[in-house]
Amino acid sequence: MSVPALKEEALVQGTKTYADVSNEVCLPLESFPTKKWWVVFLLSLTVMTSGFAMIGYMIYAGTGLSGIQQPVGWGMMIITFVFWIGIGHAGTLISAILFLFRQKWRTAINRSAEAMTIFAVMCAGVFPLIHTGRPWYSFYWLFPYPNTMGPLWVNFRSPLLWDVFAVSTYFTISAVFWYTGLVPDIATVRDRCVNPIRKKIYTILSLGWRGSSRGWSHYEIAYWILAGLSTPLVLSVHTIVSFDFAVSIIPGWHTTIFPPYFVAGAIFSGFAMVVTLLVIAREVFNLKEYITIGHLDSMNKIIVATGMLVGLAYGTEFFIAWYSGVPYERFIFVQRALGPYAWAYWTMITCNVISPQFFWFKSLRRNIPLMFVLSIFVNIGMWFERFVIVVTSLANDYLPSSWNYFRLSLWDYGVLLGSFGMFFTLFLLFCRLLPTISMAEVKAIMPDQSKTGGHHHG
Amino acid sequence: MADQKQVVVGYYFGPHDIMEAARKVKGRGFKQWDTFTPFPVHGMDDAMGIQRTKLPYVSFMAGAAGLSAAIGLEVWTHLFSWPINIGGKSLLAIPAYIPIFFELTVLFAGVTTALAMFTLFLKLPNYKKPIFHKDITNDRFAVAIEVSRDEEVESVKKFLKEIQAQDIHAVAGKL
Repeated sequence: MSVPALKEEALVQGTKTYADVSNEVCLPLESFPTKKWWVVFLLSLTVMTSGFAMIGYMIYAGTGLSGIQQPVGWGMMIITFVFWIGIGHAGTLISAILFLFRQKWRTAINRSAEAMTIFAVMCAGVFPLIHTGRPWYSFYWLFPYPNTMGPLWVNFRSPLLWDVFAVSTYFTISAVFWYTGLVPDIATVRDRCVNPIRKKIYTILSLGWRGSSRGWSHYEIAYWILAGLSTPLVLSVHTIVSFDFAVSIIPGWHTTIFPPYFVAGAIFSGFAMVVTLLVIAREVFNLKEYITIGHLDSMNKIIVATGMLVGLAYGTEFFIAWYSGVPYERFIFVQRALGPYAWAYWTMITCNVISPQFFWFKSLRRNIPLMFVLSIFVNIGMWFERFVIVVTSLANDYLPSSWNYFRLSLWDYGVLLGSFGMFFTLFLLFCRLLPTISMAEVKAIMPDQSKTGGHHHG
Repeated sequence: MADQKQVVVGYYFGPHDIMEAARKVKGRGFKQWDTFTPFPVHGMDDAMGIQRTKLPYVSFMAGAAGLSAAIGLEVWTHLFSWPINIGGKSLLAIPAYIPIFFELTVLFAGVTTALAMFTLFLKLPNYKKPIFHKDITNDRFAVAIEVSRDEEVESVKKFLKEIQAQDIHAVAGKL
């Protein structure tokens, strides 16, 4: 393109050769893990294992250990399920939507963001299973399969079942998309391997990829198609998650704003999680010249944009509650802001609406300690958003005699913590076993290193 | 060894050079040849005369199959196999069927696209094919030409030298 454009920052900093990219990205895979890595890994693993032990006991003893009760039958499990699914959305946004919009800066971050998506959806998947109370029955509760109990089928008209299909499709397609992107890079790792066992494993995973141009030609179209399919898919997933609420007739849930509101919130929280992870990863794995301050700047812009969308949705909900004239709807919203859970509501507003406002300023968008703290605030806020939605609407139902103050139990906190342990365990393993940056894609956006040719940019 | 198939390989170090080379190789009208690059080089399809892939047709068919499967599953179970009144909802509740129509369409299309691309179009997994140089997945851009007679090897080597390929060598076997 010869269109004069604004002066852009280099996507990859320093003067690097293609081989530098391979060397620097593969370094964490080819060296023994540092002490720091072991400490964090063992800590995450311990938290994950304790979390799973608690889940095991919870299933043995019954879900009564959780804080759920009448009328709040959806507690920690549903809140955290929605939270983790939301986290996943940023990965697909980066890998698919930014790809379709030809945002070249995505190349440095898409691999780790997609990994994050997959791990987040795995964490999310644990929660509905615990929520069922008897996960061994879940198979026929959740999936339509021919059985001998029947005719017995799932109810396809139920939003909860739509959710099963949405989440399982999302997980499958994200994993396929991720692996497709990984194959050429796994081949790079394979060709660098010295250890024969490592070489064997990466050879099998690489499928025998050789970088043939005739192969790339099919590959690239497949990548476009997968991106094209993932784009509506990611929008559908949180839309359908929001249907779990919006299709019911519970005040505070039964609103048409839920799908876009949920999707915006999902992207908002997901980007915050990507910033949290990448600020650490670029430091620990020495990838600052790939995941540049410019990348973080762009992500923070998306955080402030989606944060404003979420803020707008909070305002609109209130306005519509008043404007609808429905007393139940009005009551719930007044309860949210001023009732017994007001502390949760204002935590949410502070974290989600006020904290991203710092990102209007360029110097603050490029301030690493600040963005790290704010990204954690956003994640806390987005967990509380789901807490507010789930709990406030259920706690004060149509029958005031059943009202009660909802408290999370210690088991709830343990399981929540366990899911973070699982997420970080998986992410830390990923950082050691697979290239965290898409080498093939980064090389493709670097200046041409031909011996004779002009400086054509790919 | 008389007339075993051989592959003559030469190397370049950037997209521009490999593309120039590909144009020239194409101009010579070789039957079996390919280029190997660490990342997709844009414009290579034209330079090599590669036809656009038929993969999108496969994706479309798979998507259509997914949609049909979803329609069949939902309509058959609710109308015929187990018609049950849940909350007075209509048995043929098309709007309520739509989310699963969409999800299964995407699921079938996406999984099939990746599977078909790797297995049908790229013929992978295949671990038997030669890897000409370990740096092809790193920073080298190779052009590889298959020849079937020994005497051709030298002339192809000479040709590659003319078009400024580096480290030219021949490997026994097929492309």
